[in-house]
Amino acid sequence: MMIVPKFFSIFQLFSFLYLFTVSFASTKEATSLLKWKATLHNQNNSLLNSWRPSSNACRDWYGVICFNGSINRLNITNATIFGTLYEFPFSSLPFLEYVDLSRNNISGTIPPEIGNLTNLVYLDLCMNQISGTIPPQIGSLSKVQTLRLFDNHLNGIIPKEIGYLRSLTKLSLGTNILNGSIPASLGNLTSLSFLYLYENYLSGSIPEEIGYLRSLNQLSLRNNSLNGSIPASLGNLTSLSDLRLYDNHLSGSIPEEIGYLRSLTNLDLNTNSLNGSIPASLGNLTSLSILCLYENHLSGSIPKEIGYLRSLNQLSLRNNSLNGFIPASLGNLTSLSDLMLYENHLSGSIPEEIGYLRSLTSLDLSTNSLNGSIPASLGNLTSLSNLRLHENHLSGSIPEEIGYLRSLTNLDLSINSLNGSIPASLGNLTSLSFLYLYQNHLSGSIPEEIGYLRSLNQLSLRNNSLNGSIPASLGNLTSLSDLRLYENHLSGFIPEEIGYLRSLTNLYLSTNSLDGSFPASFGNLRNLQYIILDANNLTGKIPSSMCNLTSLKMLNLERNNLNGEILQCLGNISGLLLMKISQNNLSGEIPSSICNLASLQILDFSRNSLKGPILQCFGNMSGHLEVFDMHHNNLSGTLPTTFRVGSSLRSLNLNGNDLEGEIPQSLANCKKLQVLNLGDNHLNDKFPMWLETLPDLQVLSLRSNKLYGSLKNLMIENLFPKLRIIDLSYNAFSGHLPTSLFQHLKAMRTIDRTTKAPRYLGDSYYDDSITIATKGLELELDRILTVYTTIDLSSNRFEGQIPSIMGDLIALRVLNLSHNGLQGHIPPSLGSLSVVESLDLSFNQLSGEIPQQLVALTSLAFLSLSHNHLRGCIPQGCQFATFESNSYEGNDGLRGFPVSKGCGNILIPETNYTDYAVDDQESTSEFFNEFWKAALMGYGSGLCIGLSIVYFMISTGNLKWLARIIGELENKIIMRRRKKQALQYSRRNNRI
Amino acid sequence: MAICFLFHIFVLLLTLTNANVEGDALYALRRAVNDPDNVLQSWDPTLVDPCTWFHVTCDSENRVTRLDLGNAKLSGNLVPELGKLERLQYLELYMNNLVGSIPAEIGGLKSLVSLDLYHNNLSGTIPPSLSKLSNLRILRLNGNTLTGRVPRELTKLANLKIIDVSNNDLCGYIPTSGSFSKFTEESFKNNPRLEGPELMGFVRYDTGGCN
Repeated sequence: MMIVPKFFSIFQLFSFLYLFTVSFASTKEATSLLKWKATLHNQNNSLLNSWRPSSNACRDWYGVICFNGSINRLNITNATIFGTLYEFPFSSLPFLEYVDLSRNNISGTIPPEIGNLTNLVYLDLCMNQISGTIPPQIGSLSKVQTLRLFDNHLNGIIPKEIGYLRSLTKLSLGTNILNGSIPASLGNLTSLSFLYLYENYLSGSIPEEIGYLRSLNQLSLRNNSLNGSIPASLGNLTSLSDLRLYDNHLSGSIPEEIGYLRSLTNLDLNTNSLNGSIPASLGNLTSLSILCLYENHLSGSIPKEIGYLRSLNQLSLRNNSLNGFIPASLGNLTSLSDLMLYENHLSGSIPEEIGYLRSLTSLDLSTNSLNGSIPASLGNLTSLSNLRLHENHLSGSIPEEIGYLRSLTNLDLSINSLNGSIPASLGNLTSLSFLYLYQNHLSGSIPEEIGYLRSLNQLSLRNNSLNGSIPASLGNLTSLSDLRLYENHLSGFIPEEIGYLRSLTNLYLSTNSLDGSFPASFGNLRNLQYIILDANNLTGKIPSSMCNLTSLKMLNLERNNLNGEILQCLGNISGLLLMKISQNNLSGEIPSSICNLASLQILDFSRNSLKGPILQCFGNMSGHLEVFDMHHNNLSGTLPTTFRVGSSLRSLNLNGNDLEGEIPQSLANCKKLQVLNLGDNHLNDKFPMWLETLPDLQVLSLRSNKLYGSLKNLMIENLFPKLRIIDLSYNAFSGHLPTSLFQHLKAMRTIDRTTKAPRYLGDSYYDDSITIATKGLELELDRILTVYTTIDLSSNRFEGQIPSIMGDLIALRVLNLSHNGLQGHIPPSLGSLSVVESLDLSFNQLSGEIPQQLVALTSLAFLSLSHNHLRGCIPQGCQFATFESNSYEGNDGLRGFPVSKGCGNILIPETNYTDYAVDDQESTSEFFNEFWKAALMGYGSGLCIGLSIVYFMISTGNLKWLARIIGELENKIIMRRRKKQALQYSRRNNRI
Repeated sequence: MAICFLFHIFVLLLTLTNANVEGDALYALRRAVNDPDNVLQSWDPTLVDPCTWFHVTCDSENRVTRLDLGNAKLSGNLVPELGKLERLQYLELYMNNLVGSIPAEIGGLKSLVSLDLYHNNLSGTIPPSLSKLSNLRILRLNGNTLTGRVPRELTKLANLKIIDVSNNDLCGYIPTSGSFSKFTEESFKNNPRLEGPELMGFVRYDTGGCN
């Protein structure tokens, strides 16, 4: 009996003492926390308001839980705390086991004193603004099981000391700016079940040691810069359910061993640089629900074993280099909702079995090389919302059964070889929002039933062979914003009902055979921004309701049969960027209101019957106007003189009008001018030498005007640096040819041998065009190649010699100096014009012989030297065999093929390679002999080989010494030939 | 009147179609050859006709009359599509690195005046179909590796002024009849297996040197 009270009293004393010390400690802890609170920027925060010195921390403070009077848990997540951890009492809270400060606004760094919280089991600082590095002292938290630091601004490396935290089960450092590599020491954390290092800047390879983490359930290293290959050791992580390595720079192949991870439900390796083929072992991962391998460099075929993954919900192998057939076994994946195989090199046909995938909502096989027809079985996929098979080689017709896919919102079969007509059953797809059937071979008419697709937003049937008229039922598609029917064979009227399409912003009907006039209802389409109706047979006037379309940006009506005057009110559509009504029958004057279009960049009324003046205000528009094309009209008066400094004008084409007067000096303000075409007018002025500094001028045509005087330039550097087409023909220019100008013209001095595809002046909205005289004909260039290079100075009064320097303009394709008063010899340097196709020097006073060097012109297709005073032998070989006598007529002194049977005793045109090395006595140099033989190889076809090689060398390089040698050689050949002719002539005479 | 109009439309359509056919034929050649200097860079198949392409010449009806691609560093094959250029007069493809055989379809170029394929690496035989080129004046196939006989049918080419098949590997006898009577041996030299002029009536044409 005595023992019990004694014991009791001792216990009481003990517990009293204990409580005393504890409550003392708690006060100290509370005080330390209050000190920290005092450093917070918003200490009067409603939640922390409970933290007062007067209240009991363990009982009354928000987020504080004590155990035995000591603070044990601190849970102030999502409490809008603004502050730092610098005054946090790490040393004063020895019993703290649980800290959750997540979802606040804590900034600054993590103090190293955090290592003092040695009893900590749970530390959560995620979703704050914490910066700086993770202190290595964190390695002292040996009891910590959960460490969450994600979504902060932590930088630096992951300290290897984290590897000491052997109790860790969850480690989350994601969404920071950590760099360096993943420490191999993480391999010690054998209790770890969640490892999240995603969204950092981690580099280096994934350490092999990760393979020791046998308890790992989820591993996410996604969105880093990890490289190297995926370690095969990952195959040991048999508890893994989630493996996310996507968005890294991982290379090498996918290890076979991944196939051991039988618990895996998510495998995301996409967006890396993985290569090799997809291991068949993936077929073992029968729990897999998501398999994403897209955006890698995987090759080989899709293993048929993928068909075992019956739990698969999403399969994305898109954007790889996979080839071979789509395995029919995919038809087993009946849970699949997304099948993405697009942008690979898959071939063969679409397996019928795809039709078993009844859960499918998205099927995208686009941009492959699939052929055959679209299987009718796809009609079973009634859950399908996206069906994209575009950019393949699919043929046959669109199966009727597609009409069963009533959930479809997106159907894209464009860029295939589908034929037949559009099935009327598509009218059942009432959820459809995008219907793309463009660039196929579809024929027949557009089914009326398209009009049932009331959800349709975009309809593109362009570039097919559709005929018939546009069905009036299209007027029901009130959600339609984009309608593209261009490049078909559609005929008939544009239906009045088009006016109901109030959502329409884009209307493209060009290049069809639509006729009739504009429906009056057009004016209702208030949202229309683009009207592209060019190349049809539309007639009548442009309705004044067009001016209601105040959202309009582009109006293209060119190549129709529209008549009447241009509406004054078009000047009210202030947002208009482009207006092209060329090639119609418009009459009347250009309304002055057009000058009000303050955004207009392209204005093209060419090839109409417009008359009257070009108003001065058009010059003022040059601040924004880039193209002003009025060619082939009946415009009269003088040119505007008001072109402004800072002009945007790129192309000014007034060819073929009745303009008179001078060429305005203010054009020199148009520094962006590329094309200036004032040809075929009545302009009366001297040559506008002040254009010579325009840095971008590429085309200058002043042909057929009344321009006069000589071409004297101001002798400054870099004249017309980009000019490639110059046409001054049919004027009254006089004096010598401008030698000093030919010394410049930089663009004509190089041949572009690197560009594969043609490039043209202008852009996708406007093509510059010009008519040039070449090969004896007028040639219309609907688009002007940037490399087209011509000089046409014909039909003027030029006199004097042809400057030898013209041979430097090696890019010339056309050179026409005909119908002038040129004298002297044809310069041998013209043999350097290695790409010239048309050379016309006819109707001049040229004398002497035709230079042998012209034989090197292997591109020459047209040569006219007629009506001069040329004499001697016509050169032979290469192209010269193809010119007929009209090339030479009117020169009384020319002999040889084709005008006479032979020249002297040399039998021409037979290809008997007459050996010239008859008498070689005066040969002074062995080198010359050898060179000569090599270069000239003979008389006929051989001569052009040597000369063309040699001239190519001269024209591309700066081989002056070689040019000299060649010069001497040429002399020598001619001398020898003359000598031989003389010799033979004398022999013959002697015989006689 | 209406008939006249329809006829015009017909002619217009025919011209348009022809232009495309000719453009396509030339473009087939572009696809079949390697073009290191990009001399065919202007060959844009999207244009209405090929008349603005470099190295191509058309007549006033936009029909191709000349193809001038001598010494252009082209390699690869000739294409049978060239046979569709109905008004082609000059086919100048000399001094390139063309290989393969001369397509028999070249014989369909009924306007052809000059066929210059010399100095290439063409092989196979000279197609007898060339005998259909009734306007042909110049035929130069020298400097290739052509084999087989000189087709006797070529002697029908009444307008032929120049023939050069020298420096090949032809065999058989040199025909001497028809237009061939005026050609010298110069046109046939350096064909080691080609035997002298055919002796009409004495030796059968299909023997000798070709086995």
